[in-house]
Amino acid sequence: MTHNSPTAIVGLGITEMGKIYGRSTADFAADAILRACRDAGLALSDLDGLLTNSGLTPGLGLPLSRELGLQNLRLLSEVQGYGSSAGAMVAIAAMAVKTGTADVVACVFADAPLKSGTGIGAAYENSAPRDAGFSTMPGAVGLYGANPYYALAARRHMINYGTTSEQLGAIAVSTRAWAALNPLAQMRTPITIDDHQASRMIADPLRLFDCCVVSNGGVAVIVTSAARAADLANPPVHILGWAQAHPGYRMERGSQFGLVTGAAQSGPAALQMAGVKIDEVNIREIYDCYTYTTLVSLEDYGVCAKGEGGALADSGALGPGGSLPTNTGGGQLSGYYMWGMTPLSEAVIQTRGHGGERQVDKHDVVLVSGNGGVLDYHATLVLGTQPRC
Amino acid sequence: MPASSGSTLGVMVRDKQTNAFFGAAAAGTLVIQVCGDCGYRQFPQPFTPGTSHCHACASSDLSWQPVSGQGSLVTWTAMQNRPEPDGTPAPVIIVAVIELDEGPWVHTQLRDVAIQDLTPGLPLRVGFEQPDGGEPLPVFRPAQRRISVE
Repeated sequence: MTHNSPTAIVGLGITEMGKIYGRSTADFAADAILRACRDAGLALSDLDGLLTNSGLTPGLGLPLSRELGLQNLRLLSEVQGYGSSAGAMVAIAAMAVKTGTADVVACVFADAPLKSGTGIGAAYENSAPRDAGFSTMPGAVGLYGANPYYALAARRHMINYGTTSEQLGAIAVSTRAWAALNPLAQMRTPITIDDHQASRMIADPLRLFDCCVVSNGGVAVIVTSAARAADLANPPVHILGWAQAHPGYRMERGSQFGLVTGAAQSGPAALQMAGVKIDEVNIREIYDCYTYTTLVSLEDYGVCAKGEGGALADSGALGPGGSLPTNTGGGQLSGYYMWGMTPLSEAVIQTRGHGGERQVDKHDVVLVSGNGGVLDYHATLVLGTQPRC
Repeated sequence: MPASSGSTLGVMVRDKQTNAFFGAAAAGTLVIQVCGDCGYRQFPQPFTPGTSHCHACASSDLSWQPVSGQGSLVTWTAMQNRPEPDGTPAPVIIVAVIELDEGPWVHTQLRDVAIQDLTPGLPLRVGFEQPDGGEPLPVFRPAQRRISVE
């Protein structure tokens, strides 16, 4: 294997998704990897690298290699960067291929937080820490799960920039419009701003339609060299750039919490590596755990000026037929919630030109954004139809 | 300090890490950590596992010291659980981020104010509330306005 070779994503595996009960995370992960290998035209035995990322449900990790009978791996690790994990795994895999550390690396995420007979909220709230010490203070004052933290962040954006609930609603509407065109999406019935405004308040200012769906399932991608990719089953998705940023904001006077995310750093760095400018990106796949996350991330990537994300959402540019197609599969809001694998999987589909009804005409350069924690952990990928010359 | 049954606050148990904080809280005093090496002031934050290092210089020379208890409103959210089985509506809980005059942010609940009356920068003052079976926790309410004498 030539060192420092360009790299590509050659396989994509998406399992059954949504309210799929009775399967473990390891089972979903194994299924996703088998599907990704078939998709690529590779045998399981071609893999010499495996990176796993477990969601909230335990059970996915190094033992998956034994479950699949993978022998003599040259790269094997569990990765955890929450919503930035998918971008991190692909970057690690690309670096491994570039250096000859491994040749064919599978990256997999799986989660199964939904249990039959319990509410969706319970799926995440039950993961709140229960040990003693100051780590119990957030729960004691009512901060359970991610919703209230993102509500605090969204409110701050509203205070500083005049962003409105209706503007957040515009993102819910445009994202759902994409989902209506995606057979993989969980929520496909079109909605209006009025539907958004009438949806139940979850954590003021965030309403139900500001929040992502919850899914059981798994997604895997396979990374190898561009040279090897040329002989495989599907059009290669070239990995042009990557970067992470973890701002580590201190919660104190002057903090940028809620106003600026790590995407402001990881975005320009990944674009620079790819040798493209933000205006040259054809499609944006943005981690959208909440409508607000899309809005603030688009600002930080420079798609619009800081504070103008609300106006951008209002403009209609993000939806089908718009000038800035964003979250073309319905994202996490309406598609499926597989952490950073949601934007990544749709980016692979669009870059290949396999988006069917929702395929964007121009798909040479696609931006993939991962966001984890409460705007704490960021990873950006830039993918394209052609290797960078 | 009145123990409020039916408090919207959850129970926190005193342990080695929280002992000094709750000791001061029981006396009606809010304390924060001050670094003996660089003077940095910090309050325990969500998603931050320990209180043993200064977040500015990583020194472990930290002491708990009283603050004024005055602050201002940075951002807030409001949540309401589903009604009780008998139809009784659950209380609306306002969780806010308060910027202490000394700089650090505190995540806690507000009292004696409706959500429609909240504005950024609203002056707030600390009080303590003790849920049954738990330690007293800081809550904030609008600071008393000064009454101007003619």
